[in-house]
Amino acid sequence: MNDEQNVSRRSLLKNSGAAALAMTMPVSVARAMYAAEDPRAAAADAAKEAKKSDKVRIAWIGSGTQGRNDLSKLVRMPNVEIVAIADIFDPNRELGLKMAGPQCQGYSDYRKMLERKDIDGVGIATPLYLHAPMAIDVLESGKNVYVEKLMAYTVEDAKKMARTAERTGKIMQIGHQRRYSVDYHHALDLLAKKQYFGEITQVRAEWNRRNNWRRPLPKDHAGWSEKDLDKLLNWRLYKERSRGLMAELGSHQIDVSNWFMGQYAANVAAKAGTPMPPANRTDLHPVAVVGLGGINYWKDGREVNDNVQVVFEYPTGQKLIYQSIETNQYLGFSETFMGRNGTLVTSEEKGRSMMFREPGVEEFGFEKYSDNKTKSNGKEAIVLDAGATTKQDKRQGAGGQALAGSTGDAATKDNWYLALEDWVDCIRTNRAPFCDHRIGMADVACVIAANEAMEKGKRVVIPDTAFHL
Amino acid sequence: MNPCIIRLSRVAMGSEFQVILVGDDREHLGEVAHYVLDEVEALEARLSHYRPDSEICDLNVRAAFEPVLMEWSIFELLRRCVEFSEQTDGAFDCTAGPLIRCWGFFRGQGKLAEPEAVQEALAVVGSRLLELNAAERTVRFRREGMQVHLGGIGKGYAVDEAVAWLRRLGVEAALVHGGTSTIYALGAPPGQDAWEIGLRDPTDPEQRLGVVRLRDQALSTSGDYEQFFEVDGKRYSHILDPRTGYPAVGMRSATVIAKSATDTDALSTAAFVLGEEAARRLCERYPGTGAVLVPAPGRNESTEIVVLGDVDFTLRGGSPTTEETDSK
Repeated sequence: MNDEQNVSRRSLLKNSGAAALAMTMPVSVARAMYAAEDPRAAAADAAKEAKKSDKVRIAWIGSGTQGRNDLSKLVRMPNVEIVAIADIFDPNRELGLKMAGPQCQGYSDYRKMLERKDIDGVGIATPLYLHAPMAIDVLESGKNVYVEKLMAYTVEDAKKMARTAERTGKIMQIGHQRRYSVDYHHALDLLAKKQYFGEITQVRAEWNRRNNWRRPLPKDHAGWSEKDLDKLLNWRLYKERSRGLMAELGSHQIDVSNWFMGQYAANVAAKAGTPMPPANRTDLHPVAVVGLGGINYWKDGREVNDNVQVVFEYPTGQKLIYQSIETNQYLGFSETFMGRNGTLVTSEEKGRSMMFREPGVEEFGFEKYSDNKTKSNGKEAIVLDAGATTKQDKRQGAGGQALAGSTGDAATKDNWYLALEDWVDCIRTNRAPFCDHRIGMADVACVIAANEAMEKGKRVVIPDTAFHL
Repeated sequence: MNPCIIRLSRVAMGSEFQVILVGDDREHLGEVAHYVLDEVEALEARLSHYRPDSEICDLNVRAAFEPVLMEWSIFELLRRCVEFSEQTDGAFDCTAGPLIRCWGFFRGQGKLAEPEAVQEALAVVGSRLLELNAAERTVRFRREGMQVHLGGIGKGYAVDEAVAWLRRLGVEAALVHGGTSTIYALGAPPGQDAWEIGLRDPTDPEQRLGVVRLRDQALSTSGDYEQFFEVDGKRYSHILDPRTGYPAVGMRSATVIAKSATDTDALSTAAFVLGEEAARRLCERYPGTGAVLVPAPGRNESTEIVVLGDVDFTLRGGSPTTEETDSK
């Protein structure tokens, strides 16, 4: 990249430019791409920023496995202090406190923690049914909130949360971390803006694992009965606390489909002369869903399906076919977008994102430069890498894209880091989050409709009202 | 109920990482095994040199330009690395990555390095060039081009973390190992008072050198018989001496036994590089530490075995239940 471009990229990232950029991608993602291009300049900018920016004080509710994953990112952020952690299970709270450091105070009752006046933002990584009451308590106490996905147990709960955020004027971000992935933004650029794959006619997404999804209970019950501790730590398996596989795994991938399909449609419309809406305001939402599921393999007292197979229908006719099973992991986890000209596979699994050209379709242009070719099911594929693919794409001259590394290095921060970094940045600069309540609510609506379709064994129409406040 | 054994392994930390759990509830042990391996995989995602989004890669990209804030436990691990480096006179060094690259040991069998390239790499190797600020919990590189690479300690650390989870989840007898070169023996198998671990004879890896008995102890072996290359009949081991930049000579294998796998992982490398006398001093410095060394044959070509410190070692021996180890 030449100096002139460098200067413009850097100035764009600063000040008001960041807000404009945030419409197409989160500021943290844009920064990560810039840092991959030029770590020295990025470090200098970051040091300057750090000097003038105030410390953001964060508290966390729930330091189980996901909470600790989130905390492990937050403790690495300059000018972020983890001041308090609340968890009703002592051993998990202790593990969280160990990560956060000696300045951090532990609470068994999160409401006591919320009485503190020195907290800017509170994260929530607790069982699903607790998201709404806890998030509302956080917002009412005058603090910003980060809610792990799924946003809420019901659409009504999600709406209540959204209205509370609106009324209190506080920031609420939902934890669909793929929205903050450098790789997913890269893939989206190929699909929606460059439209390499042509019209997308079908989407398949899946998450296949081979385990019973049950967490072993620790020896130290910390005063809990075996049964209560099981409900506490294995909440995912119990209906009154969980929405099962569709919520815990499916919602991430339905979200990607809604996002990419919406962006594709918006870009097609923009080419026809319609102005482009911001990237996080254009999701395509399904109108109906059918499905089959059951508790067929893990009959251990669980109340949620151990296999789910559903088909969503988009208003434009395309179908999203989704499955998640817990007995065989051969097919792994990914989202596959099938277009008239080619196929895009995205996955959080490293090295699994790739693209294919349909036979007889004119070359996209940059494939011949790719060193990153592989065969999958006997077909030639290009493995996608935000750094390398971009470099290859740039070599064809025209259409060089504003993505990642001239060095070939993809960003060094993962999706969870970038999601949380952006939330902290939203708090610091008082701007709206990229993954907001609209996105969260839509995913809740899709999950609940899919579960209902499987339960009743019939086609469930998703009312448009589910997607609007 | 009869005791049952669950063996589960997964490719992690650059090895076939395995847990062998003994208990009386098969279902619970199965869940524990999966859970613990998930934790190991999560740890690998944070420590791996190969994953561009790991905390170590983030450090390597940025630390030459700015102090990088680290998560507590990883900062603590780096602090221990520097400590090991000081106490082993630089024989263990987590900044030796550029040298490993020179010798082609990152991906592949290795190649003879150019002397100029070795000198160039040496300029950015050395824990004294790592600036650790405990008050700020930050790490900074004093020179551009430096790389932190936890290959000599990460596996041991992961074994220790896995064992901590096993204890929390109520497992009382288990073996945990990362590719058999670093192993932790938790408790003992039913009816026995220790786990028996077979060591390979580095001069003839088909043969057993002897058996070490472990209980709540870790063991690591560094040897030149698993990974090496030969040029003109000379054998170059993949274990480099970070002080000279050349493969360490003088040892065929060094096995260290201690209370923690993090310690044995780092100290076995150091013992291999430093040789017998220094290994003896290390065993004295770290209480509860022992070693089994096989120096390279001297003039009379006979294989000698040196046993140091606290170690329950039997020459040859072993029983049908003995678990075999390999070197790093």
